[in-house]
Amino acid sequence: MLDKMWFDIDVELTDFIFSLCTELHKEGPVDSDVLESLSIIKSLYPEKIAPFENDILYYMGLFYKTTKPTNFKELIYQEFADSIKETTSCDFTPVQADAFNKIKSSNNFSFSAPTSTGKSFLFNKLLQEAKGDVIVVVPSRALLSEYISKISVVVGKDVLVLSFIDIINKKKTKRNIFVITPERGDDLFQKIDELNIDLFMFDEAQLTEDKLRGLKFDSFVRRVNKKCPKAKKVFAHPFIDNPEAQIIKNKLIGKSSFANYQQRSVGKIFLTRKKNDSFVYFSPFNDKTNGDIVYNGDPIECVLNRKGTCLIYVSKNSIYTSVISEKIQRYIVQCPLIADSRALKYIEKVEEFLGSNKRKSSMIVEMMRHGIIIHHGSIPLRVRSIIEQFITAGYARLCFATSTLIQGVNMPFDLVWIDNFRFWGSDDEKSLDLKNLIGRAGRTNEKSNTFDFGYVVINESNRGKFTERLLYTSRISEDSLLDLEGHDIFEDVEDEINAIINDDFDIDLKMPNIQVERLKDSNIDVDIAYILDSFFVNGKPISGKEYYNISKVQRDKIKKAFQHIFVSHLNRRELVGGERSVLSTAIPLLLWTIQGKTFAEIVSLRYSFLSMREEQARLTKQLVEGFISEPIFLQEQDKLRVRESPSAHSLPDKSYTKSNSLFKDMSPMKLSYDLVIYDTYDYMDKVISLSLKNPMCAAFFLYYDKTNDSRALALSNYISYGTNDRKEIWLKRYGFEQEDMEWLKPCVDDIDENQITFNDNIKQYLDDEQKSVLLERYI
Amino acid sequence: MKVTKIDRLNYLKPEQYPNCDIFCLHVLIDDLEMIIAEMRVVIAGTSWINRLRSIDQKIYTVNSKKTIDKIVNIITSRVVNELNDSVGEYMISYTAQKMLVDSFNHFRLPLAELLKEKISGNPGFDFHTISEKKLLNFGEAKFSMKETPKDLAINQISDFIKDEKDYGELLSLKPLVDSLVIDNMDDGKRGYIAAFSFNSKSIDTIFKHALNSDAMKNIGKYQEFYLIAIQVC
Repeated sequence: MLDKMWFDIDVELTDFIFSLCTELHKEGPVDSDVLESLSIIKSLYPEKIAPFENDILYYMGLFYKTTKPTNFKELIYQEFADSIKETTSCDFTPVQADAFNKIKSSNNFSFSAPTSTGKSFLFNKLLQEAKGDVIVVVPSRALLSEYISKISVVVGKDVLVLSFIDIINKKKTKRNIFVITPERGDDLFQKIDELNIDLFMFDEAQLTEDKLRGLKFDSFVRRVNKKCPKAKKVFAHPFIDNPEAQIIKNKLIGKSSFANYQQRSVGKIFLTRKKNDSFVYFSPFNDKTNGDIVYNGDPIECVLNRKGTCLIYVSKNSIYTSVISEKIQRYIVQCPLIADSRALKYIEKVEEFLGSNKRKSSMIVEMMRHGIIIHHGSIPLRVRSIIEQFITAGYARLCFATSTLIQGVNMPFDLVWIDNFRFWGSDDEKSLDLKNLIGRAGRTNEKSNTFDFGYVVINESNRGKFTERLLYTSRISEDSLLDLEGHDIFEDVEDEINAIINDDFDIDLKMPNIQVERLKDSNIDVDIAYILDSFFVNGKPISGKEYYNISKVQRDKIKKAFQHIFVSHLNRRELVGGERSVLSTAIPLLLWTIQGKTFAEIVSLRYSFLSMREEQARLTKQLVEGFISEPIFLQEQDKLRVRESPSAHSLPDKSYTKSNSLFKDMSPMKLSYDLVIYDTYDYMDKVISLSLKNPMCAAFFLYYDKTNDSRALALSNYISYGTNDRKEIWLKRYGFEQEDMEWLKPCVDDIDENQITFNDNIKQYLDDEQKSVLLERYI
Repeated sequence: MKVTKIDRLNYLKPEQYPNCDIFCLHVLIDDLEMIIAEMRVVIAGTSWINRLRSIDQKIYTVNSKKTIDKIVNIITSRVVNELNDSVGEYMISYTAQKMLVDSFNHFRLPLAELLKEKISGNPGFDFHTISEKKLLNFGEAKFSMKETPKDLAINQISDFIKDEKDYGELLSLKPLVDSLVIDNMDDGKRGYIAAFSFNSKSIDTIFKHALNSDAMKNIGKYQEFYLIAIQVC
């Protein structure tokens, strides 16, 4: 509630605070309205709330933040806390304890709990207690690294934690925890008989509602239920009204239970930003003002001045077009340069990975030096992971993030400003995403006796829509798309959907059987042979530069060959214009990957290519050698234009008839290094890894199977692992990346599924914080 | 719990406070453990946590016994500290209310009042009941490990009357009481309860002093007054 009266200096609030406490005692912290009232009162009159604060925390069940009981009621609540600890052997909140007990006593448990109810803490306990292998399913790859690093800390060193399914390091591993996305779920069934799985945890299980991914999710749930009926299955959702739908829709067998927890751990204060840049209070629950209670100052500045953290939710476009620069300039004063040596190490790592420097300046890196973060889906996963560690370590102050963060990162902020109000999907999905986002407003700090709250800021024009979506009850369907007739689907994903529905995948080639059959039946041997002949010289793949040096006719033929192979696995004969452009652009990147280039090297090469670096160098040389005058040099330089390059786009997409270019009619001097990073990463990720890798590898592997041409197997390995080197392939299966090969390979004497045998060279890296974390389970 | 009703005329002349029904009650708690167990249930049983399956039932039973023992020890230890005072004050409130319900057919107003915590600035009365005459009674509880804080209780009531604290509280009580009670309140009819721990030798001296104090002049104008001395055996 928001009441105008509270802003009168002499207002008497004791009785009202009593009534809020009574409500918390009886119902728990389930009413956002109550928590909002406490938050506003605390922000205005901290001294009025202070005498009640310990009581409030006891009533909220946040026993980890309470101090010793000082009154009768606290004594009784302390009894609850002690009993919970004795029941669960853990410092759980009542909600965590309830869920924990239900998980223990059920075969399947599906629950809903708001963001920041300490779900991770509960999950960690389950992971620690598990006796066998565990599969954790998360909705996005962005979440993988966060999960892996958090889980690795809480389980023993003899528990292997991997972000993909592989059975390695057998000698040093007692059990495995695999954290995967549903897309990686197929890999499980290759190894499932070698594993002893006793727990499946599905986090953010509302993914079941997402069309194609939802199908994959449901299919995975059903398949594991069939294969491992005795293993526990736990489904967690935020803000879902009917978590039982998960059990119903996938017909889970065994004792099932569910719970819809609505208890929150922090309160929120809502503000709108007016066009004149002033801020006013509002309440989406019960607003007894006329929208005329002004917040004194700029809340973002206030939070930053108090050393707090702010998240500004923006569109990707506003990052790409530098619209966010205006906001950065406004708040950079509150974010001075960071001097902390550990923070600088994180920044150095990002700089190293991206290959940025003075000439190739990256805003990601430069802003990080001020504790300002840019976070979106086209920032390389490894960088996002370092950025997330940087934020978790408390160095980030201001974070500009897109929707990737909603499902990707579990980090709370003191203030969340929703500057971009575009959400996707059904009304349920839009409402869920909004609630998930504002759920990040308000950090529960470790300080005892402190009721915590956060700020949510929205633009005035979105107020009505915001309230509507916030109050909307989100539900998930009790029917799976797998059981519905007549799917409204695009032709491009039809094969996959049918394969999911009919469980008709080639597990080894990771493709629908129908697509494998098409590859086998197609006439692509000539194309494959041509590619192999063109790409291999003396048994080694040619470089990206060598690729550009071959004749245009030959290059066009290679492109056509790739197009032919790619289209052969689809149910059509030709690629459309946009698809062809993207595929052509991907080929040199694929070659660079094959040669084991690091991401920084690939971006750097592409940046040079796009910015006509050779042409620039030629002009400079002419100037230095006196062949041209300075005015001519400048005139010629001014004429230079960045090479057009189609922006990355997932394939196949029949509707993508014409490609878009990120770098249209631009002087090379103005080419943003960050844009090249984003687009190149999208190519590596969306195009090569997710679109091309499986059909290409399958085509080359099938060719090898038929002809025994070892170059085909090598190319399949190159595409799959970026290398054909046995040791490097094994190291990648152990979770190391291309960036690690240079320092790691000389330290390895031998490697197989049982263990890595290191030599003495490894000793020099054991003191390095980041490298030792990578190595700790293998040493 | 044993209740001894003592005639007011032992301490007052008949013409003193003729319109006020005054009851002098000496309560002897000989079943402290049971009283504490009931007090505990009032809080534990109404909390949202009690509705969850957070706690193993066996552990719950064992721990509730432990809590009761702990509180009994607090009361009997006579150690003065913030926690012990709070526990004692609850015991006085609870026992007085319970006694009025059991012996005088009062209706006990629920939890909200029991939840009230003594915060600096004395926010209001500690508990409330409704008498058979449909009068709202405002209760003040005072606890001491060693003293008999009767003066604190009745002076507090007198001050609250002057500050019209009772009217202030009526607003939050309205939803809990029927219209007759409200009508009586509007007509200026109501009652007061002074409950306090008894640690003295003579109950007569305590009651006599209390009823002849200045504060009584304010309290005696109203329809009911319960003077309750509570002693733990």
